[in-house]
Amino acid sequence: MPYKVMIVDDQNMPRQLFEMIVNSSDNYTLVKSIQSAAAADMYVLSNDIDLIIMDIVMADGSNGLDAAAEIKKLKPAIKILIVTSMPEVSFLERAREAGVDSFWYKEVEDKPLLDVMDRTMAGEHVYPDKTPEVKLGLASCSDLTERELEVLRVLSTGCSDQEIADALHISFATVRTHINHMLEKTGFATRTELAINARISGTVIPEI
Amino acid sequence: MISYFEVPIEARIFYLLLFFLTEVNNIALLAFSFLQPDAFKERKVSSILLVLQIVVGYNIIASGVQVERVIAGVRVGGELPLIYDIEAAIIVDILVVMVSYSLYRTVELATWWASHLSAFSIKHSMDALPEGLCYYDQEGRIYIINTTMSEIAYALTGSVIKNAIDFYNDVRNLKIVPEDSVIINEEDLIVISSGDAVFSFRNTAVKDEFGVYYELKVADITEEYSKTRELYSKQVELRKQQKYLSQLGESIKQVTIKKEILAAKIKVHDKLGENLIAARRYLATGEGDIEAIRNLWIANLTLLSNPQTDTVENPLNSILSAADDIGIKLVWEGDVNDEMLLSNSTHVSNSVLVLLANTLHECITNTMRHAHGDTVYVNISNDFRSMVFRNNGVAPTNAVHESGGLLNIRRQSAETGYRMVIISHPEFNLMLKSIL
Repeated sequence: MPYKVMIVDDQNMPRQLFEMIVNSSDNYTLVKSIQSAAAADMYVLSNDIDLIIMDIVMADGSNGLDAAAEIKKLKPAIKILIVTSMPEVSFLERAREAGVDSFWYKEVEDKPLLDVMDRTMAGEHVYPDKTPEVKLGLASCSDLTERELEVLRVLSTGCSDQEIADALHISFATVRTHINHMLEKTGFATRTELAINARISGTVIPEI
Repeated sequence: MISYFEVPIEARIFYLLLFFLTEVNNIALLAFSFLQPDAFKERKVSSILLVLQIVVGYNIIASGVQVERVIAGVRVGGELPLIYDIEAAIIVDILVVMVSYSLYRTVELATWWASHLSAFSIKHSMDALPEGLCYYDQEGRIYIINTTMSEIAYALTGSVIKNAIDFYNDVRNLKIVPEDSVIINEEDLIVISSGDAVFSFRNTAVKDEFGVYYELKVADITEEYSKTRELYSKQVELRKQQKYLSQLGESIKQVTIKKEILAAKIKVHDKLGENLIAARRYLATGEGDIEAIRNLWIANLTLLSNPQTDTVENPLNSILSAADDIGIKLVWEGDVNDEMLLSNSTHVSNSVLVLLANTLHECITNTMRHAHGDTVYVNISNDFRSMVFRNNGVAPTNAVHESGGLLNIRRQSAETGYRMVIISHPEFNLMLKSIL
């Protein structure tokens, strides 16, 4: 009996590609293909679904990670496969915390999606070893520490140093130190340049 | 009896010197003690010593007995020179004791003077202050003024301060020497003088047990003012950059979405390429799975011929569409309905739309999961100050425990300027009331 699949992706083209992949296999049948993670749990309640292939960043502001966490609370047996092209470093960890079963980077495609789906339904947790390397000036995103990335995430929203300190419950001096370290590593001249490049490269996506 | 001038010169000089030293010392001591109220006791002692020494000194010089013995050439008493007999020796000893005691007390009082405040030390410390300070009475008469104030006043008016009130009023009315001076801040009366010097004036009344008097303080804040202006400019610049970053965030999101679309298009393009190659090989050699090739062509052509638009920016779109899909009916009872919301003809802010979408989502899922109903009633006032949600399912038997979704709605309501109220009986009602 084929597994019932729901696809959640706000972009038409990738969504149709996923639909093609699902339809190309006898092991799967497409139940629903929707454009927003906001309503994903509503479909889960009213449909019998085995596997959800879900993007993270949605145009309407909803995000796949939050939706995945909610769905896992409602129906833990449903397998969730997160797909994204964003190299945001926190997504892998957050996906694990939300109980997401597998994670697949669209751009990298180190394994075929169908292969990941099969392994996921077999009970495996297929996660990449690390986020894709993204150049950030002279450094790559893996050269930054976890705390530096947290500071960078808030910095890229346009917050002042004091606002960053308040948001992360650290001291003003610590914020300045982290920013200075990141400027040294990346070679950027100003914090604004650092923030812009972090956003453009997808290293941080503070809205999610 | 002989005259005083027949006494040997050495004896005269010695006694005179001793007398002179003692009297000067005690007069000085007496004068000193008058200046120090706490040294009252010393005043008494010094007075007694002075009188005693006048009497004793006079007796020594006028003593006929000792002078006669000197004339007779008879030396009486010890080997010390100028001591002629025992009476004189005793008197000289007493004198020496008194002189020593006076010197000792003088040193003691001088030390006390150096380690205690006096009226002079108050003035001295005021003069050491970096800001100008002046105390005056209701008429403007000055009690005390420090040198810094005098210097600032001279720089501004070309003369010393004769009356503090007049000086202050002259400054307020810019009747001061640098003609291009301006007042920056009336409240604290900050004045810029032409040399780009900036002064801050502060005039306050002081009330204590002695009455009311006034304090005028003037500080040269040129450097601080300059740094404040610089900081202000940097803050303006920083706020501009922050705004730019916030705007950039939105456009980056759009760019990222477009990147994803482009990547997908590239993939389709590559697939088409593969299809062409496979089809060509099949046509040329007969090799390949014709069915697989045909399916791939159908899939790719379907993709390319179905250009759906990707517009899910209205947060309500997906919720309303999902409700319809899963069989939950939405009944719009109030002034606002779904068409108005989807077209946003109400011009309500995006944050309120998001709150509405999240609340609808929560109500729909709760209707399905807990109330087992299939209809959600929505009543929104035309000014969006009241939004009420209820359903046709089973009412809760116990008080609703807020967790997860409802907690998020409560937090989001507060952030958006709404108060959330939940009523469990006789039917479930979730109300959002604007508090703005």
